[in-house]
Amino acid sequence: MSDQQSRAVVPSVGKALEAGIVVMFVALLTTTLFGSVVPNARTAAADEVGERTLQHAAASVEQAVPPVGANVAVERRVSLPGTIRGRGYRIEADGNALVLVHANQRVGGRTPLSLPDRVRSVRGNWTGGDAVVRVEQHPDGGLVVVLTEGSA
Amino acid sequence: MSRAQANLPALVVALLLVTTSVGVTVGLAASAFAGADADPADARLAGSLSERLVAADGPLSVRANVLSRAAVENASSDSLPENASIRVRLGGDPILEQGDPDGGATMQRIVLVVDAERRTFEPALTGRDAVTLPRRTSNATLTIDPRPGASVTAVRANDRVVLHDPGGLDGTYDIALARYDTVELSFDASRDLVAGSVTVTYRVETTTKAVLEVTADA
Repeated sequence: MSDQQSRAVVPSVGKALEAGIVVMFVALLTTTLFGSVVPNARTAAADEVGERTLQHAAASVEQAVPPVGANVAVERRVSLPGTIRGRGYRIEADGNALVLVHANQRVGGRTPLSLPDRVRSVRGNWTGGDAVVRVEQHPDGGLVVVLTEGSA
Repeated sequence: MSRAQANLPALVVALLLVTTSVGVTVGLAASAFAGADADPADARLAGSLSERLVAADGPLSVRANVLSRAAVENASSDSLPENASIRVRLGGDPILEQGDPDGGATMQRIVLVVDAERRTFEPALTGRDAVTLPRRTSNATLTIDPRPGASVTAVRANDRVVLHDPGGLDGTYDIALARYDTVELSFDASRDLVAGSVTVTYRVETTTKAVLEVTADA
C-alpha cells in the first residue's frame, strides 16, 4: 500500500526537480552572461570604437591644415559616432594632443598630433555626431585650429 | 524511483549541450574581439609624421618629397610630438630618435635627398658672348668685371633679359632662373668679351634616392 502511494508522488517530485534544475540553470546562465560577459564585450567593442574615433578625429585635424600658406581659412566637416557604448563622450584638444573622455574608465585615450610649426594652438572640443574643424589665422601670425560642433 | 527520474540524465545532457554551445559562442566572440584589436594609433602617427616630414614646409624638406642633406644632418627632435617614442631613419641610418620605440608601426616612403653646393666657373667666351650653364638651377650669381673699354649693357637668360643697364653692368648680381630649362646666358657687350670678364656661380643639386622610415610607438 505504501509503495502504491509513493509511486503516485514520484512523477511530480521528478518534474519539480527538473523544473528547478532548468530554472537554476537559466538563472546562472543569465547572471553569467549579463553580469560579466556582455558588459565586458560591450566595453571591449567601445574601446576599439573609441580608439578608432580618436584616430579618425586626429587624422581629420591633421588633414585640415593646408600644406602651404599662412593666410588660410579652412572649415572641414568630420563625422564622428553619436555615442560610444550608449553614452556621450568628448574629444578635447589638450596642447598638441587630442584626448578622448568617456564615462567608462576603460574607454579613452590620448593621441599626439603632428602639425606644422605654423599652428600655434589647438583648442575646443567635440561631443560626437557632426563636428567641424576650423583653421583660422591668429592675430599675431600663424594658425589656430578650433574644434567646434557642426551646425546640424 | 529510478524509473520516474529516467529523463533526468537526458536533461543534464541537454543542459551540458546548451552550456557548451554558449561557451563556444562566447569564445568565438572573444576571438573576434581579439582579431579586431588593431592598434590604429601607431600607424596613424607614423603615417602623419612621415607626411609631415616630406611636406613642402616640413622641417627637413626643400620641396615636397625632397629632403635637404644639410637639414637631415642637423635634424633635431623638437619637431616631433611629445609623449611618443619615435625613430626616423633615412636609408637605414637613424636621423631622429625620441625615446626607444619598441615595436609600434613603421611607415616607409621613398624620398630624394638633395646635396646642394655652389660651383663657380669663368666662361672662356670664345666666339659668341654666351655661356650655357651645365646644370639646371633656380638661381645664379654673376660677377661682371669687363676689361677697360668694354661694357656689358644686358644679360639674357634664354633670350629673356635678366639684367640691363645702359650705363654698363659692373659688379655682382643675383639672377633668378627657371629650374625647368637648361639656361644659356648671353651678354650684350660693346666689345668682344675676354675670359675672366664674367664669373658665374650657380647652385648645383645632387639628388639621391633614399627610403625614409618612420617608426612610432605611442
